[in-house]
Parts: sequence; structure tokens; C-alpha cells
Amino acid sequence: MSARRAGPPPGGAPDLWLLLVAALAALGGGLAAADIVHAKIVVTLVVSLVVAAIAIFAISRWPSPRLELPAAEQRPQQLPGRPAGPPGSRPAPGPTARPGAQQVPPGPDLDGEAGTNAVVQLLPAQPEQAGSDWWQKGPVPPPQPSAGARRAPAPDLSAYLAFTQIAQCPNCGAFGLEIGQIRGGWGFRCESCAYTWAWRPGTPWPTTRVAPGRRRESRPPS
Amino acid sequence: MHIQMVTFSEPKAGYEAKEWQDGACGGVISDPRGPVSRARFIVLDGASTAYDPVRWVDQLVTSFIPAPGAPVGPRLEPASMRAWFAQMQDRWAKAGPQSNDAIDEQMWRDVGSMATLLAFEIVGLDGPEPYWQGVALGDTVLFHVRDNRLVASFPPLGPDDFGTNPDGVRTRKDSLDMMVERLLVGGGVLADGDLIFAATDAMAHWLVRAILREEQKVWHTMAGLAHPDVFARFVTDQRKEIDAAKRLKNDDVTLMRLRITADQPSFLLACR
Amino acid sequence: MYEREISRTNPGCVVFLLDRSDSMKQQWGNSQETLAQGAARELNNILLELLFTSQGEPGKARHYFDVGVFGYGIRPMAGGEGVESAFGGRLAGHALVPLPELRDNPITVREVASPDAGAPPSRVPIWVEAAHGYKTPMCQAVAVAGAHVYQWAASHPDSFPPIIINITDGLVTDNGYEGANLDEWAQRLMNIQTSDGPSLLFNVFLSPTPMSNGVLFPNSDRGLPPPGPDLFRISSPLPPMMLSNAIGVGNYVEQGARGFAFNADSKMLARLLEVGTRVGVRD
Repeated sequence: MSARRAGPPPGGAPDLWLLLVAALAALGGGLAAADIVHAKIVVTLVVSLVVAAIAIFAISRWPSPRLELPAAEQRPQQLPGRPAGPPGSRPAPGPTARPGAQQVPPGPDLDGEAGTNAVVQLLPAQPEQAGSDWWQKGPVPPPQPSAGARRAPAPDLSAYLAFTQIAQCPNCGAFGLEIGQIRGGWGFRCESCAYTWAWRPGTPWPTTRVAPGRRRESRPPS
Repeated sequence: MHIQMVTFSEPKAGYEAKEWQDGACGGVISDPRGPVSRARFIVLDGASTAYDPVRWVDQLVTSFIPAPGAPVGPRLEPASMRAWFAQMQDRWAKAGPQSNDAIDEQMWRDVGSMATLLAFEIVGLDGPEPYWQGVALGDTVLFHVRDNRLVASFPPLGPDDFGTNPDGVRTRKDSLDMMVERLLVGGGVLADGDLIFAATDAMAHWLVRAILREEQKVWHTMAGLAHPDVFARFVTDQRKEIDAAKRLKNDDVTLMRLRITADQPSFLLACR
Repeated sequence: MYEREISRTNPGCVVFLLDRSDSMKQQWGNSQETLAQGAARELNNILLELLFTSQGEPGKARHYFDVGVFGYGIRPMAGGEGVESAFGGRLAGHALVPLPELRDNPITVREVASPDAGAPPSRVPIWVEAAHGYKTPMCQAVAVAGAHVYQWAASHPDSFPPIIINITDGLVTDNGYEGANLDEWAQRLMNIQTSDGPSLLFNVFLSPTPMSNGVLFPNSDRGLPPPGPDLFRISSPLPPMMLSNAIGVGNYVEQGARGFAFNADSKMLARLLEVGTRVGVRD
């Protein structure tokens, strides 16, 4: 998916401001680390300068990455939200959803990169139904902030867990799962024990047993 | 009400995951005749100095929370638990030791196997006031938490109550009376947003000590665990704690977390 | 000190010095056994207990300990008088044996009648056989075992210190062995240490006749006839954990109690062996 290309940039010197930021970041990080681990300042400065040199080299060597998706796959990125409502109320649709349509936001990538390196993947409990005409909807513009709107602090991430089922293999308790959409829900295959099951929103998660002995590969001892 | 369940586990440092001797299982019990109304859970800690604790734990878990269509496990009251203990001991005795090895035979007969037990149900999920009820033998502990405060712990063990010779479910038939005599029974009413944690002894002991120092932060952290690698890192860090009074003992660790919610989950979190 | 837990990363070391002098042929109290037979039986029992403690999955032992048994007096394998490993069968001649290897290589497995009426006999593995003859070269035993213990401690600097348990029924006959007396040899042994402390040397003096003045874990040698004071002097104090264990299994012990039993019968020997080898295994 990502379109990183090796080689020098097509033209021009690297952005000097970026180079300065990289150098300062490396130095600051090194000094902060020195505080934490009580390293000698001299060693820290040398390490910081080496790190800065590597960063500068990398920035000068590689162009800014552009994640280019085929036009047909472009869809708005959206963080799931839960507007406040009375107890027991169903959650309202996200702010960019059109009435009558079901949008499937891919969810946040917590390490900042889309696609293969995600640490967690947050999926809506109710997946988009097969056969809907999403390709006809086209791109949706981002919401415009209301006049005078203030930025409220983001809620504690743990608040999202209150509305989230963490997927865990019912047969062995492993967390590494292959997931696919099925009619009205999600299909799973455990990467550790090959157990398969389905889950549909509105039904309880299957009875789950933690049994590492059922997994095919164990993590090496720590 | 709905239950969001997740169980994190880590083997002792230096051991492989398959050597983990705890047991944990649970979920909502399906009833085709009506709405879902109750859930059943069990957490066990097999004694490593006992004979084949992994097999004993497996037998207990499989019987307590059987597969769909299999006979339902015991009711959580002393008479039914006694009958179940006896049935488990008989089944173990019939299976015999795993090998013809003379040492295995001796250990199977003279030492037997043992596991601490925490078994509980959540009942009344389709009503306004669900509640938990449970039985316990040993130092696997249930923590009922509301708004980052401990409502109850079961068994109610203090920091000095965790030892190396806890009560537990034993395979030797001469221990049946003692097990029933020492079996504890407990319960509590649940509300929307409540959390239940079930932890084997190393984790339970750590929690009991940690909440004396900074209760809200501890429960907030436990409630926010969302990835097994984060849990593994937490366990590793706490095992390395310099202060022995704060250190997590190097033992198998199991932490089951149940979140009681009025609403169904809106999202599914898949860890990578 | 003496706080390190036993684990596969840091296994422990337990060495037994077994008197095989001629006087061990005496009958042990009212039993049908000789001192040699009774001592060998208790040794085999404690080795089995160590295996129980170290059991991993069925059929396997975790490498929690390296174990040695050195007989002194008669040398059934090499002949004559001296010191040699008391292991037989495939382990003959082996000095310190890892527990998994011990488990897999008993000399034999014997059927022993069960004390419960109607119960099938037990099959008991045997690693050490009884033997008796010649005199009591205890200093040489300490010297030979000490060489192996020294090497072991050098290879396991972070383990719980080695535990050496000497079982004897008589007076040492080789005092002055290589220019050192028993006190000096014992001190050399106890000077071997790991980062968790010096080696522990415990002694058991067996009595052929049932005595009411048998003493277990004393904290002084007051009133002990020879060789009681000599053996008491070379016995290490029980570390706190073993002190707690001793109390926990019903022994009366006081502060300063030593790993020593005098005029011991079979039960006292078993108790000392149990307390002296029960160290913290990672659970």
C-alpha cells in the first residue's frame, strides 16, 4: 500500500528546518535519556550527535512518504466516537455518515502508519453489509467546525474500552486472529490454534478458555 | 446487562507458555429456551509441586464449564460442590498416572494433584440487578470494583494472607471433607460500569498490596489494559521492581477482567 | 543470605556424605535393618522427594538440583578403603548428577509392600545401595566432595549455596588427612560460597540403639557425649528459611539451632534430611 521509493529526491536539497528539528530532537532525546538512566553527559552527547547524523542522512536520502491508495479505495479516515446519550441509548452514528448509509471507518492506527503495522485494529461492531453501494457515494468532505467551536480535550483512551469487546480466541485465549466480514458479523480464525468461529453483534462473545497448551507455537521463554 | 470479558496471562519468567499451570474459562451460558441471563467463570492455579497440575486444571475447567450439550457443572453451594469434588476425584483416580514410570506412580498416589479454585456466576443479566455469586478454595481472588474503588474482594485476603500452602481442590480422597469445610461462599450486586477482576495468587497479592498505596490508579490501569503485549510488559516490569514490598512474584499470572455494561459493545478490538 | 530461589536458571546442589564403615553393619534399633540399610533407604527416599519437588510434566524432572552421594569406608566399585561415588548402575562413578539424569537412571526399581491393607505394592526406585566395611575416612570424604562442590559453586555463582549432609555412626579415623584435621576440612568446605552465602554443612550421628536422648537441631553441644561436640562444631546454623520449615513440620527449635542430629533414629534422620533439603523452589 505504501509507496516509499528508494533513491535521492527528484530535486532540491532537503529542508534545512527539518534537519535542524531532527538534530535538536536527537539531542533532546539523548539528554532526557541521560537523565533517566544516569548516563554520562559526554557519552550522551556523542550518541545524540550520531543519532542526529543518521536522522539527517535518512531525511536527505528518502523523500517524504506518500501513501497512495487507488482512487476506488479512498475513504475518509474517522475516529470512532460516542456522543453522550441517555443511559441505555444506542450510540448515534458518526458525524460524517450520511443518513441511511453505513460507513465503515477503518479505525485509528495507534502507531501512526496505516495498514500492515497496526498494533490494534478497531472495528465497528456492526460491519458494513455486503452489497451496499458504497462505491457510488464518493468522497465525503470533512465536517466543518462550527463558528466559535472550541477544541475539547480528547477523552482518555481507556474510555473507549467501555464500549469495546476485545477479540480473543475462545479455544485457546490467543489474541492474534485473522478477521473477515461475514453476513451480519465477523468471522475469525485463530493464528495460534486454527480455531474458527463467527460472532454477530448483539450476541455474547463465545465462552472463552485460556489454554496455551492448545496453541501450535509458544512464545520463547523470557 | 452485557459482559465484556478478556483474560490476560503470562507464564513464570523462564518458562514457556505451554508450562502455564493456571486455568481460566468463562462466558455467557446459552439457553435456547429464553434470553441470556447468566454467565459462568472459573479461574484455577495448579500447584507446581503437585503431580501433573496441568491435567488436573484441565479436568476441572472442562467439567465446570462444559461444552454446549454436555451436562451442566455444579451449583455453587457446598452440597453440590462436594458432589462435584468427589466426582472429579473419582475421574482422576480412574484415569491413573500418565505413565508406567515408578516415580510418576508414587507421586500420583502419595502426592496427588492440587489447584486453588475460584468459581463464580453472574446471574440476572436480563434483569435490573444482576449479581455475582461464587465459591473459593485458596488464594485465587475476585475483586469487585466500581468507579475505581474496591467494593469487595473474595476471598477477603490481606497482604499477609498469601502463603505457599494455600487451600485447594485436591485429588486425594482423604482431603474431601477438609475441602468442603474450607470452601468459602460469597456474592455481591452489580451495576452498569462495574468491573470484576479474577486473579491467581501472584497477581492477586500484587493488587492487594498496590491498592493500599494508590487504589484509583491501580484499578484505572487494570481497566485500561487492552493488549497482551502491554500486559506482558507490565508483568515483566513489576517482576523487576527493586522494592520487594511492591514486586510481583515470579509465578504464572492470570488476570480475567469482566466489564458489566448496560449496552452492547459498539466496537471490536483486534490486537495485532 | 540464603534467600535465593532454586530454579532451572540457578539450580541448587545437594551432596550427601555416607558413612560406609564396618560399624554400619549394626542393627538399627528395633528395626530389621542395619544402619547401612536404613541410611540407604532414607537417602533413596529423600532423593525421591527431591524428584517430587522438581517434577515437571509427567515423566520428567526439572533441573532444579545437582545431586551427589559420596560413600566413605568400603569402596564397592574400586575396592579397598576410601571415598567414591555411591551411585550405582549407569550413574556409577558420577560425582554430581543433574536431577533429570538421576530420575532416568535408578539402579533398579523394587516392589515394597504398601502399609495400607489391600493396597498394591509400591514400586520404589533405588539409587544408593547399602554397604559397609573398613574404617571411617571422613576427612578424605570432605576433601573429595569438596573438590566437586568447589567446581560447582564456581559454575553457579548466583545459586543458593551448596548443601552437604554427612551421615555417620562413628568417630573419624583419618584426622590429619593431608595435614588437616576434621575441623579444618569442614571449614574449607564451608568456605566455598556463592553470592548467596557460604555452603551449609549438616551432620547426622546415627545410633544403633534406640535412645531417649536423641537430639535434633540443637543450639548448643551441652551434655553431648563424643563425638557430639566435634560434629556440632562443624555443623552450620540453620538459615531462617530452614528454621521456619523445621518449626512448620513440628520440630522444636530455638534461635541458633544447627543442622545437626545426634543419636538419631530413622525418624530423626528423615526429618533432618527433609528440613535440610527443602529450599525455596520457584512456584
